[in-house]
Amino acid sequence: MNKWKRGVAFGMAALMLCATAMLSGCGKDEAANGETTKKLTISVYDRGMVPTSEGTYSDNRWTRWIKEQTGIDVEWVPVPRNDATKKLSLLVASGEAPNIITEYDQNFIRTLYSQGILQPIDDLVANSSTSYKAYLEAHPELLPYVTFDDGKMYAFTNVRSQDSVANHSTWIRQDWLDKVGMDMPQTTDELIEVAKAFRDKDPDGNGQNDTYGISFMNWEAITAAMFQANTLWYEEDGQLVYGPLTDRFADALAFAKTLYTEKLIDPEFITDKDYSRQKQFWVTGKAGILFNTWQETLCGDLLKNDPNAKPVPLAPVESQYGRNGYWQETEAERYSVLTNTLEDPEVAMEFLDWMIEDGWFTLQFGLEGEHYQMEDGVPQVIDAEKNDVELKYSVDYHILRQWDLQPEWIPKMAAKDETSQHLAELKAQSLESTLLYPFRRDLPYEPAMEELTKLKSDFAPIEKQVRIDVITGDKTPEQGLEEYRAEWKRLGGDEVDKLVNEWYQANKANLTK
Amino acid sequence: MNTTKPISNRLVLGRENRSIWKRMFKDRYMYMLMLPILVYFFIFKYIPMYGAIIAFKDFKFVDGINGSEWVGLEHFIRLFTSQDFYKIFRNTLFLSLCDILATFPAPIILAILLNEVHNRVFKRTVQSLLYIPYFISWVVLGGIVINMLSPTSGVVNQILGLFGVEPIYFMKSNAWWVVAYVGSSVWQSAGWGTIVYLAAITSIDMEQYEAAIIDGANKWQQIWNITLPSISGTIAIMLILKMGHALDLGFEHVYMMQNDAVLGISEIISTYEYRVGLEGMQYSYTTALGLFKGIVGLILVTGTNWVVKKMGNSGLW
Repeated sequence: MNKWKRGVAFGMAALMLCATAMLSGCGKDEAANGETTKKLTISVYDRGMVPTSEGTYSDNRWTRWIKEQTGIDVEWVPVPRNDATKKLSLLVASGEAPNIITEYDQNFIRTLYSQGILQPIDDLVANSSTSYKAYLEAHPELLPYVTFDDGKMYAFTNVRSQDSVANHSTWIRQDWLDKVGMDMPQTTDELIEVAKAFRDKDPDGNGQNDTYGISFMNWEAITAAMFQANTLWYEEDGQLVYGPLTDRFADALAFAKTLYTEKLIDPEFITDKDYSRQKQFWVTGKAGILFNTWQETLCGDLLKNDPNAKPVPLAPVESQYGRNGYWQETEAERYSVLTNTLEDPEVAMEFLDWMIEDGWFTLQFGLEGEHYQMEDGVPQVIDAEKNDVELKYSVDYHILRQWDLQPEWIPKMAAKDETSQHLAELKAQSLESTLLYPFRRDLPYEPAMEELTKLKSDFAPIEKQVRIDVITGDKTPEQGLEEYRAEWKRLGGDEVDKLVNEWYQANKANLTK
Repeated sequence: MNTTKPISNRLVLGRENRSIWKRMFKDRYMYMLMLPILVYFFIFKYIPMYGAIIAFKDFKFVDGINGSEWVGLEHFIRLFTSQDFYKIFRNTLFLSLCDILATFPAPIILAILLNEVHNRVFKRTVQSLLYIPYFISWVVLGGIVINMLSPTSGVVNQILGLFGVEPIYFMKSNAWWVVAYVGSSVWQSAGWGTIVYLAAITSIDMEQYEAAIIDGANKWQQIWNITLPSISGTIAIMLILKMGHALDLGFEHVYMMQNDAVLGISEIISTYEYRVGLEGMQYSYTTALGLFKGIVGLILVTGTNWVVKKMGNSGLW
């Protein structure tokens, strides 16, 4: 009996040891066999969109198709989309950086550059490239985005299509405007008047005073854009000034404060961190104006709840500083950089040339006859459900592309049923109206400075808190601005201002748009 | 004498050593069972400590932990001279003090109350219901709390409305936020915390109660003079353990309940670490902060242990 017990105990201990050893031992892949094939590792965003029937982010029909087409053994390294820069930082830190890193965030790419991880690509493009070289020659406007402080080029990128340049936008209920007998608002004051009418005149006709003027997902950026005071650097009399420190910012705060004190927005927005209440107000017809993006699908949900609703895009309104567009992205799209783990840049160049020449189209639209057919020169979806499974997740494999969507294509590309067509029509209108007004962005990018990163991360919570104090509390916008400036100074802002302006003077030539 | 003493000492030492090894060999299977746990602590708790040296370096990815430049106490100086540090340190201390004052006695009281319940079905049901919040993540609980306290749709304000009280936006006011934070802490952890105390209470000799009843002690006197003194050792140990985590306030809890309006009171060390360290990529600086937090935790644990021992209970060591 005793022996048996001992045996069991020993067995258990051994088993647990094995388990521990296995747990700690995994994650080390076997070394590559036979270095005859060309190899590349590339980061890819994991958006959790690959259905199990299709495989994984590193092995699916498109990764296999890429291998087949290029003859290069490409290994895709998935990084979670929401934590991409964190995960990439960790990979870099552990010496396991993918050969090519792709990322939208310019500041992150510049951080990598300042840490000395990137390879310059000027010579490579000049001597070994075919398609990308030609593309870059045709698009010299991209150069400022990829030329870093030492004057060398470090990243591959392409021009954004218009649909991804445009980002924020505003929607308004035309049927509510008609009901309260008002015109489309043109100025910030008119916008407030319309919102007041939506609040008071029972536009949903249920006899109760239960409507708000505005619901929103991104009101800080949208209200700041009206007064040209976003969290960007603006050139004022030849000097760069941070947006929240400009005089205009007080006006943006005053506007937001009016929205709050007049109860034109939900007073509980502070705790509505995921905007679920805001979404609900719009789709259930309790708010007449929606600050969101141009391609918002919430209109579809609104129309489901209220088929008579008429959501239409609202063009940017004018403030005393003129009419500024909604937040738009810079021209350069995704950045692809070569890291120090890449031994043979020629292979990477061959791959990227193929990508921008042939690869991207199939990766975006699928195979002809299977996923799309050409109609009027536009690839039209054959079976939306099939594409949802087989194609939807491929968005992050075309790391370079030559795509330029025209608003009038949107309805053509959409499915043929009536609702889809109506929504596509709205989207097209919205994109067109959003693109009409340029967004003020004085610099294509910010300098990559440790001092600035530190300052911004220290300043961010103060900025948020003062904003809330002003909007919902007793502080006036002017006091808020005073406090901003004082806090900025206290955190060492003067020094950073000086550094940023020195950088600006030194790099002005590269920064002109 | 003087010359022989060391020899005899050595002999004694040797005999003791041998007997330790002997004893260990005798119980070798027991020690083997312990081995995986030792391995676990070594791999996951001790090896990572090596990384703490980046608190004294200017950590850069390319250079790695070893290659990064030594900067001495620069990060600590920056930490202790920044105004934000005092604010978050004060917030952390204040919130943990409130947290401990409310959540520490709650399970003890609850356990004693449960112990006095004699209807088995009722007791079991209540216990199960009390445990449930512990198993729900703060992401969900935080949402529930925020919704319950909403001035327009929250149940709390609707009840207050029945008594003619104007709706209060609890989550926006600093004072109410602390109340909501501590209250939700109690709600989540009190039930689960009773387990340890209930176990301690069941080990009390029933004869003591019988003797007390014969002497005419009422319920209160029984609780005060028998139950509480009997579980005081457990209470002391739990207090020491709790103090070690005083600065380690649940990150998820605060992070989920926090909002821009109450940042002034709700920004604590762990949320600051997250924001500055991970989002702002200032690893060395936040490691310095983490190290500081660890040292304060150590002081609190040893301090509490000392106090507990002085009060006549046996401490952790």
